[in-house]
Amino acid sequence: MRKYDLKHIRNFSIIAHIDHGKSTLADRILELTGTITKREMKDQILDSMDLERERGITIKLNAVSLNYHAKNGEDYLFNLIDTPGHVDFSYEVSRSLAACEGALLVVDATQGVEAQTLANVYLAIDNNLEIVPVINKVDLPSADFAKTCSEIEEIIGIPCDEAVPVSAKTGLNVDKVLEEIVDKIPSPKGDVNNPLQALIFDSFYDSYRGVVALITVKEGTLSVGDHIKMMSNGYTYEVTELGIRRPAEEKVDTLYAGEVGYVAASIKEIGHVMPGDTITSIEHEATLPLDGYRKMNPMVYSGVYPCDSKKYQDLKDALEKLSLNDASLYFEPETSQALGFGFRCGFLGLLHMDVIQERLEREYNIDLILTAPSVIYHVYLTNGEMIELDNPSKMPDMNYVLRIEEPIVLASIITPKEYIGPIMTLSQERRGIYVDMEYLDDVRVKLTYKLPLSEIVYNFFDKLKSYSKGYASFDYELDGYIESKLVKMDILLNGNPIDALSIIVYKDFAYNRGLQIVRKLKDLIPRQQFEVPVQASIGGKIIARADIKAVRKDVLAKCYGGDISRKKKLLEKQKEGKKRLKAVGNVEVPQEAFMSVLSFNDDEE
Amino acid sequence: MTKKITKEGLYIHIPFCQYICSYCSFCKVFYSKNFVLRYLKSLEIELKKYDSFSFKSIYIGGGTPTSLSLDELTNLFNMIKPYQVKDSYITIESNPDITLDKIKLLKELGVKRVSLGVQTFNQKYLKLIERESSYSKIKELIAAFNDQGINNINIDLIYGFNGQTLDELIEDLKLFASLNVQHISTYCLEVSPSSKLYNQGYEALNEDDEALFYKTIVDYLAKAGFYRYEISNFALHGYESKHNLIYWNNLEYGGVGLGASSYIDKIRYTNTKSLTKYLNNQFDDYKEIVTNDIEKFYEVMLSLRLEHGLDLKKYQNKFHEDFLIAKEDVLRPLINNNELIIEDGYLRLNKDNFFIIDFYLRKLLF
Repeated sequence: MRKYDLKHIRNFSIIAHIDHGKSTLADRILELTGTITKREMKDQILDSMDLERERGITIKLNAVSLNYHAKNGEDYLFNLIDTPGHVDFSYEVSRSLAACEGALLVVDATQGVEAQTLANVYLAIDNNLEIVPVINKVDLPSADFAKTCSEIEEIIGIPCDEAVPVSAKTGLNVDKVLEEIVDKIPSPKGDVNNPLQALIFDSFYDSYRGVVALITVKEGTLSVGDHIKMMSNGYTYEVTELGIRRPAEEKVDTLYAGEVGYVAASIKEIGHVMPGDTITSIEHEATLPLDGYRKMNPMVYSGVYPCDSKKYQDLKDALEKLSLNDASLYFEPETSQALGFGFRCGFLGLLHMDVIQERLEREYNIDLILTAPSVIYHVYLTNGEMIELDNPSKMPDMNYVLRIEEPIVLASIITPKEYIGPIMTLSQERRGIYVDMEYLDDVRVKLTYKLPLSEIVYNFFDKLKSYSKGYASFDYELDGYIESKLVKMDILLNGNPIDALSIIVYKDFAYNRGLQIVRKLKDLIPRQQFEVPVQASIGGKIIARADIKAVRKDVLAKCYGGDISRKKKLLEKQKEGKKRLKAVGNVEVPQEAFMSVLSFNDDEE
Repeated sequence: MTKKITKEGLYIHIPFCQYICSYCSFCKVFYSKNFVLRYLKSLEIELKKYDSFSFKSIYIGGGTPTSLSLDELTNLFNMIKPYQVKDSYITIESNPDITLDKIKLLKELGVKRVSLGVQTFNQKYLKLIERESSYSKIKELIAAFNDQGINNINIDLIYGFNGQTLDELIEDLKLFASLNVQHISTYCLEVSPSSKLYNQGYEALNEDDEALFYKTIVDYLAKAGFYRYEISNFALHGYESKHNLIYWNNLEYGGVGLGASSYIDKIRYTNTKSLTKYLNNQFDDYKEIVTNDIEKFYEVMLSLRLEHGLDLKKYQNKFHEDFLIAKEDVLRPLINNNELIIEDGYLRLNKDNFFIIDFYLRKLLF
């Protein structure tokens, strides 16, 4: 039993700040609709990646179809699309929103509205979604339902007189949320008789079925055996399998307008399936594709290299697979003198970079070296040309550089007022320019700063959290480029400049940064066979130096009672440890060293 | 009775101790009459696996083998009698507190070499490692062994205590070299997770001083006539440890007792370290089949620990492969740089590089 008319379908997502209980609410909804029994319940079923469960964050969006028998006696089909909550992943949010007609806005009654909540709600409003406010964690003693409601009304401008107070943890009032979904969220429009238009909002690779696309059918019908066409690139395929996810896959013969499901069509080429693209049918072809997504551009770029150069092809395959369902991941081949063949990758932010790195290492078993992330600089040359520089080592000779511009962002920070001081100090240390301060209520303040993007990519968010005891939240948008006093700093190991360690620094900070970096590298790089000087230089002039000592002891203890196998095992273990080191010239450098050039003074003891 | 096959060596582990030293990470348990009785029974059963062999060298280590009573020792030696050749060379480890009647018994039982756990004469560090000893006591003890006709004696030296000075080390070396011993084994103190020191949060000396101390030991002992024949073993000429050379020369040996290892017929075993399992006659724990490639690995790993290094001709005969050609890429730069040396048909480490041997092993073996 699954054929529904459009009036009985609801496609919605859940918007929330990280930790406000979005995944827990999704779990309760699955439980309550009988989609998952309590017994099958792992905590937070939609966060299916190990990484997501470990970190308690949702990275990949995930769709699930569920049946709901409403109080009015009728049966509904709910398609719930879970969304990530971290500042780095708003692209994922925008994709899931484009597949929905409504969104549950989950706000933690003990925390109130946060900067990230705002950003995502605005995205939803831009997508014309109906917003249903849900106030979560009302079971906690510090919850303030009325205050949270008035905040939503004042800050976001959504009426809250019918907001549902829930506790996703205990299940309180979750049934009311289900009724709200039926009553408030519009059913999808669309006509089964129209030409097929299906929006791809995600995809993954399956070694048996090829590329599997997650789609929402906006117009028409799609059946097994249909011939389909990707509207952006014209590739055609025959549909081999259709289904819906509950969350286990369930095969169906046809998907109708308004439904959400998956399609497989023996697609071997990952690049043919682009999230945001429209699928149509050759038999009943649409003339125009659906509106695409708000495409997100990478904010930071980093060189990604395999520790073992033989793994280059594996890395390429893995990046292709990951980019399949992560359109915001950008990569192109790059060569480094120090690190060999690898890729310059673009990421939405540092968390996104972390996640990609961990997935490559864990799921694809490739040990990686990442260079320090860099923003894109605009370098104006004396010959009138402008180059977009995403790799510091490619900086032209300064004699040919007229000026350098760097990207700045408009950052909004929402914080309890007692942390204004430390946060202002932090922002100023990071070359921030004060723009505005606004009291949201008598406790909380929204600070607006212009900050160079390069100053926030590394640990700004962490610092913000620690300066505000975890209370401040943060969001930013790109705000153009400004001219800046920037220089390229080279790092030399054993007298040789290492391209992968070059960075662009603000001129007035250069001397201190150089000193910190060489000290940090001295501590991070293990002793070598010979003494190795570590130097920082600007324009050929050495500004700082530290020396790594020669190794003096590298010997296993005597073996007792002839346990020689153990000695072999220990040697093998040592060797395994060394694999994480990259031979750069004749110096063995650990992975972390390449990232360490970003360390700031506060990392010092 | 069928004729037995002669093997090079047999190691016998006696895990019992009257007291436990704080640095010790080996298989050891407090002495208890009841456990010794059961242990010796299990040992006898385990020995049966070697019924078709006899061994040229027998090494009884521990623990403290001399913690056994006169009766227990006699019992042990009776047990191993069937596994000896006509004149097996028997070594036993002894603590400095051994009594004269035990020394006499050992002589009667056929012991030819004794290894004494002296470690240091510095009272500060003796206290740290929870041992009691003094120079005069050890000197008397050695004389007592000599009186009984046991004239091949090794003493162990530990260095690398936290805060140890070069002068303190040299003082130890002076006293060690002045004793009537033929062999000195040295150990850089290791704070192993299974030791008491580790649990006390003790930190060993730093790498730079350890390296300096090692060099000092090598130079000092050489002047006193003890030449280094293996990384941490020093002997008067002709007094190298026969038993340990079996290991370094990649030859076969049996092993019985708690945690003991063996290498017979291309299989390396390591016994369980659990006394409970051992007493239930569940002996072996780890097994490694030594393929041709693994045997090559061991040949190089073990022989480079020796002063004279790897016998290239022996390697060629054994594996039908020229090591210098097989590893040419790795070897050439190291030889050009004088880090490895080819001399008289042997490949060896430069004498200054023994303390960083593992660096070279990793290069040559992987």
